[in-house]
Amino acid sequence: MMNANKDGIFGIAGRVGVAVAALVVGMQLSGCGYNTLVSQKEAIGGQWSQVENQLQRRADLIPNLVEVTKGYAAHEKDVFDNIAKARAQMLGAKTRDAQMDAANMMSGALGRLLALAEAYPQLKADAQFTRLSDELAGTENRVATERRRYNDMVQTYNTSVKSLPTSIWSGWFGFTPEKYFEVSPGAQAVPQVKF
Amino acid sequence: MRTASEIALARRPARRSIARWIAAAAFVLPLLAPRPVRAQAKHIDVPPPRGFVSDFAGVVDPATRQRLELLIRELKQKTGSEIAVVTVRSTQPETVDDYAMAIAEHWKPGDVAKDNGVVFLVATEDRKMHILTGYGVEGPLPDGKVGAIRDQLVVPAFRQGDFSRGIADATTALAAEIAKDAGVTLSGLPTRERPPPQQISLLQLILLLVLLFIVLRIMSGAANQGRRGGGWIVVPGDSGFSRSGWRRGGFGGGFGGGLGGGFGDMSGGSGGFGGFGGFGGGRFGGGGAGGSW
Repeated sequence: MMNANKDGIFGIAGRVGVAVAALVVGMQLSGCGYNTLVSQKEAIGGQWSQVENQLQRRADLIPNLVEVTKGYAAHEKDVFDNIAKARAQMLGAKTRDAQMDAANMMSGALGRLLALAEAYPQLKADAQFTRLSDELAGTENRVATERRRYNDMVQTYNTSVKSLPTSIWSGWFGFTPEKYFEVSPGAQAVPQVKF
Repeated sequence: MRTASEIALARRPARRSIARWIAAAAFVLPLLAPRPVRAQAKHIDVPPPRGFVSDFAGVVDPATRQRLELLIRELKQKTGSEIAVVTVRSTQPETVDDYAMAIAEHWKPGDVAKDNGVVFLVATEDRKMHILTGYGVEGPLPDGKVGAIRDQLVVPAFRQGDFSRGIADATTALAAEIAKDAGVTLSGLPTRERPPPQQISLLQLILLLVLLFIVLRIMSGAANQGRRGGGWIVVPGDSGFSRSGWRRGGFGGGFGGGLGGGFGDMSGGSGGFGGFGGFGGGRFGGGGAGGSW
């Protein structure tokens, strides 16, 4: 303390103490306390595993669908290669970011696979293909639903983290904004089953 | 070179005012902070249900509607499952899938513990339909089977313009699958749940008055213990018994489901059916099948 004065260390410490106490009380009053952030972050983690479940369910459907499609359109190598690539990327994805990217790549590849039905009437008429593409469309819908719920939770949490006064201290405890699960523009061709 | 805080510390009045400012800010800022908005990425308004069958588009004939109401009521009695049949003219600007999900999330058909609801939405002018299955009926109704019901029962009838037949056949098939999974059969005739509504509401009124009388008497007895000779009639508002207060407290506990259903009838506006007391609270994950015709 190069400018220590009459008030002494106690006076300064006392005032800082009061200010900190006021800050803590303020934190609690604002409804964005530490525990709130903990539970919001936990909820995001839980919701992400719901997203993962549906991505897994989708990945499990793919081999059968590819098998049936190959029976009618074996020479559409590009489409099958893309799916294989997306599947490999999905399996190799370790972080949430990588999983999101792989999921989007997969959506794009699957959209192209289902679009083959338009070019191959016999494929479209195949009962097993119809059933599998219904299962796939339903699963895409499930992925979309869980993704929306995930994004809702991220929005709530990010709003908490970035709002005053929480934003002053949230970083100290590692509460950083979470990333949204965005749909990449290329993947927006959600498979549509037409009749 | 001195840092800003050292400069501030060097001057006493300034330092004191900074301390005050921090303290003040700690109290004021929370009040200014925006409350986290109730996050709902996409808010879609849906009208309240009119019954198990909500024919907003007016394409289902009354006999079919009555028959389906009875069938779904029976399904609910035997399995707890609820099917919400909804027709609208158009879901624009929303897609039919999103609109069906909004209905599922607002109405929550299905048992709250079993999540065994179904939403069957038809948008007549969009020429699109979607059947959503709750988490609990994904077993008996996998997407592929729902798709088959759409292809075999919904699309052919709709292409002929026969909405009543398509909706009736598909709903019957959906209900039959759920019933089969639960090991029951449906006759189309639910058991009577309660005497006619008119009678029960009179009975309710008498019971209510008797109960109110007893409760008030007990309460006023307790309140007046201190001053002898005080009257025992207390106006509800005086002792803090607001209308909603005693309904929630003293009433809800004693009567449970029966009366809840009765009130639901009036507010739900299910017309002459009387069996619809609101949906059960089921959750949906997005499964099911849809398409156009």
